[in-house]
Amino acid sequence: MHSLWILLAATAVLGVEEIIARIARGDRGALRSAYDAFAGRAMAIALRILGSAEEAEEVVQDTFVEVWRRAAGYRRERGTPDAWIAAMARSRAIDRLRQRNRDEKTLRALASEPSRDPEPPPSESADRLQERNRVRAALAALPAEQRRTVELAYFGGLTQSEISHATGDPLGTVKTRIRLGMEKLADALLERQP
Amino acid sequence: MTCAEFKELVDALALDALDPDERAMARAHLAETIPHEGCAEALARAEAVAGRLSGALIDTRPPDRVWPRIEASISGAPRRRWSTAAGWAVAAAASVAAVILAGRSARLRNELESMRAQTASSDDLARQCLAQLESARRTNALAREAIALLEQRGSRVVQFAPQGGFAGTALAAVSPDRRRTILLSTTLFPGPARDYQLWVIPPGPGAAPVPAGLLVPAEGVALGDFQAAALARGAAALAVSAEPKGGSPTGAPTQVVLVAALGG
Repeated sequence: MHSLWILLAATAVLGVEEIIARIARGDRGALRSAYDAFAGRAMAIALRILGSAEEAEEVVQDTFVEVWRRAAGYRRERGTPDAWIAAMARSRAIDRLRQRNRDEKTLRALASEPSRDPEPPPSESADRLQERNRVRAALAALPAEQRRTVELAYFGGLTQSEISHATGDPLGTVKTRIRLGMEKLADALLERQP
Repeated sequence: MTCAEFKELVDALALDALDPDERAMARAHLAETIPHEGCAEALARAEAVAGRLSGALIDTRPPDRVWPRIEASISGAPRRRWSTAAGWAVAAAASVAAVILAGRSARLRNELESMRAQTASSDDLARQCLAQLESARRTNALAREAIALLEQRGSRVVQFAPQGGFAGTALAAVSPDRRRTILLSTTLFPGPARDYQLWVIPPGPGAAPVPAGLLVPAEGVALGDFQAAALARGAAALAVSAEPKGGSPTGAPTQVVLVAALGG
């Protein structure tokens, strides 16, 4: 059963990779397919980081224009297509965040944890739900300080120095929390090498 | 930076949580042609973890107005097609030379002559035109030097790696003695409130990046001439940062967007 799941997952990735290859050949319908599949994730990332729906929409727009332009440069060994697009959206959002002044950015990061989740879209797949539960469980299993520090870096877009400034924790402590937190997340989320 | 020091930073690097100078040093270490102690593997693992974190979020469908904007943006948008690095650099430099040498300067000269024939009230415009002509003369010279550098025996071309998902890229022609380096890019154009600044990263742990000039726009290509004084102390890597207009206000890179290791 586990092998079947891996086979299905691999097939899904290959399907998405074919979409990226078609985008690289100039197929606009393929870009629309990628948008339908991944724009929701890109929007969620940008909203969480920026806190502004208007700016998040612009990030999604910039991200998919970049997907169109850079599809030929996509390399499978650097990550799955969804991770590639998610990283691009996060990077665009952080670029915008870093144009804000430090105090505004810090306040935004500290307030970046949403008070309540939105409703999942009706079309959400079982795989997507399973993935969310797994990542959330891995984050929830971290000691609170490690989880908060990793979240301030990933979802808040803060550097280690900025986290130290924002929380009042020594820089060395922040670095240690990120390292330990990421090690535990790797153990929880990545398949062990044989 | 040692491999052990790199691995201490690798998780923060994957989260894009390093300060710009640390990030540049870490990227430069990764690009060094030395026997690494699993540095690339450590980064791949950390990036794989970071890549999973957005999975904790619930997808939020963008409003219907977003897709039509994307469609409008990609209509006529240039699509990047890369040939070999050296071929691209030569083509870019040749394009600069052809466009600037044959077109812009001639046009500006004609405009200047025309303005000089007009009344004294056009003096201001003539002065502006003179300034543009001087700017074109400088970029002409730099374009010629870039071509000469590419043609020089023993010169090499290095490609810059984007940092933190930056979309732009660039190539640099490096002279055999490393005393001259000229950057060419089709994406790094200064904006009304933004400049791109060149940096030389000296060898040795903890060495601070040395500012080395700003990119200047030519027609269709941005050119950067790494200042000889910055290169004189040696260079482990080259970097480009995005800065407010006029360059870094702090003397350190504000946001490193491209890095190229020079290696041995």
